[in-house]
Order: sequence, then C-alpha cells, then structure tokens
Amino acid sequence: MEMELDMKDELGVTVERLAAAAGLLEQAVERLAQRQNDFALDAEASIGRIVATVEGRREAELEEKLAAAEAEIAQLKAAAASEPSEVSHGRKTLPLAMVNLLAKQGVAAETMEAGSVDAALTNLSIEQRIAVKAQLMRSGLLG
Amino acid sequence: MGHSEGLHRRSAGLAGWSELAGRRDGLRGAAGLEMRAMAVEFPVVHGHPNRLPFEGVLTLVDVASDKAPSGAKGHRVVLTRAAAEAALPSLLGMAVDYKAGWDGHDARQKCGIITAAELDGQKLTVAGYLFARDFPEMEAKIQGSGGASNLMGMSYELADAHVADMRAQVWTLTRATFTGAAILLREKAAYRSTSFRVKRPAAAGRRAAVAR
Repeated sequence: MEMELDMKDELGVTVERLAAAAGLLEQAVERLAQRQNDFALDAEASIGRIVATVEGRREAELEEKLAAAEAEIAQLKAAAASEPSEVSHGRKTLPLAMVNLLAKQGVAAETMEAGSVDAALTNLSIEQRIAVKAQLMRSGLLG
Repeated sequence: MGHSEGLHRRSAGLAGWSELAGRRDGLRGAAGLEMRAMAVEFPVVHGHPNRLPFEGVLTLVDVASDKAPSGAKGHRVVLTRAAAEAALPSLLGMAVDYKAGWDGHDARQKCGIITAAELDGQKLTVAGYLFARDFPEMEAKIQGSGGASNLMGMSYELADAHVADMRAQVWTLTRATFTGAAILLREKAAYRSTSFRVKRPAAAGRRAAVAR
C-alpha cells in the first residue's frame, strides 16, 4: 500500500515536471511565432534589391527551399498547438535519424533530461531545434 | 527623333543648359499627358571612340511586369508612376551592364552610363553612352541582332523598394531607388515591352550641332 502511494507521488511529480516543460515549449513557440510576425511586418517596409530580370533557376530553387522551410515551420507550430496538454506516459521509439542527430550533439536519448536539452541543442538552427523538440514530445521523452 | 536626342534637345532648348548640369523638365502635351524628363549633359567630343549613344525603354510604369522579377519572391510587380518619377534622379549617372549570355545583370561589368531619363506615358525611357571601344563584343551583338530589332531589351535594378502590400498577388512598388540597368534579351526581361538600340554616330554629331 505504502509502495503504491510512493509510486503515485513520484508519478505525480513527473507529470508536473512534464506539464511545466510543455508549457515552456508552448511559450517558446509563441515567441517564435511573434518574432516571425514581427519579421514579416519589417519586411513589408522595404525590399533590399529587385532586378527586373526573369528569375534564374538557382534563385527559383532557393525560393522553393525557403517556401518549404516556412511550410515546415507552420506545420510544426500547428503540431505544437494541437499537442494535448495532458502528457502521454507511453514512451515510443525515436526515429533513427533523430537519435543520430541527438548523439551528434552529445545527448543520449535514454539518459536525457528535460533541462539539458536546450543546452545540448544550441548548435542547431531554430528549425532543427523545433523539429527535435517536437519529435521528443511526440515520443514522450520530453514533456 | 530618338529618346535621348529628344531629351537632350529639350534640355538645351529650354534653359540654355550648362555642361554637367542636371535638368528636370515637366511638359504637358496636347493630349494632357504629362512628361517628366531629366538629363545630365556631357561635353561634346566629336568622334569619341569610346562613346556610343544608346536609347531604350527601361521599364513601364503603372503596368504589371510580365514575369516576376528576381528578388520579388515570385510576385509580379508594378512600379507606380509616382515612384518612378521620384526615382528619376537616381537613374542619372548609373551604369548599364550586361552579362555573358545576355540573360541578366552583371553589376561588375559596367559597359555604359545613363545620362538621361524620361517618363513618357507609361514608358520610362533612358539614354546614354556605351563604352563601345572597351566592349566591342557588345556593339557587335547589338548591331548583329539588327540594332533596333526586337531582340534586345532592358532591365532595371532597384534598391530599397517599398512594397505597399506584401500579401498582394502583384506587388506595388511605391518607392525605390534605381541602382543600375542591364542590356539583355527581351525574353529574359521581366517586362517584355522594353527595348534597346544603339544610335549611329551621325546622330550624335547632329545632336551636338543642335546643342550648340
């Protein structure tokens, strides 16, 4: 009986920690969205350079990549917004590519702690950080 | 009369111009169309081997480009007449360049200079000189393609362009600064209605006579 109570307490603490982490992540996503909106408003003011020449293939490719990256960010934001506030307890397996990416940053998925993720991912771009965190959340490794 | 010749004559006739002095004239035609022009007069040098007069239609105002210009993120653009008029002074003294293949800009390959600009209806026309001796291949290409044929066109280069609404399908440029222009194949220009032609040296001689 006592052991069961201890387990419940421990589980409760874990859930609280995960919920707090999820809250922080939501705030981060909101800040990113706000920053992106601010950037868009700034861009409205002025375009650095326009050349009245039909776009070359290379430029078109870059534009396509940019559009794809923007779509991915929007998708991640939507995914983060639709993430249930209650934390799932069932752990899933991280994709191999994600495990490798974390390993390159010196993070082992098995021993990962929520607080250490931010520090470990500082070398990655914002988009990569969002992708990693979203994946970790989906996998139940990060609240 | 060509664009540049007309511009230079008008400058000379209206105000007793001085060399290297910029002039801006606004004329109202019989049809009520207002014309804005600006030119820098250079000292006449008879038979200058490195000055080949040119003229061309750089772009159209208040008309959407046929294709999306480079840098406009896939949007076609409209340069407003007001913006073009305000930016006329920034055109004078800017260079014209060309790129191998005649399909774009090479800002480091400056092969001429713009000395006059004019807004005539929807056409923004420019005139100036090419450095013909420095770039013999350029003259050969332009003359070889028929000089005044439909092959060659022009393309502007803008900096600090102000877009009225970036969400609009066609961007409206309400303010900009011209930083240069290029000679290129018309099919590569965002505006298909641009044009470019060199003028025979005889025309330059005639212009000099008029100016004096």
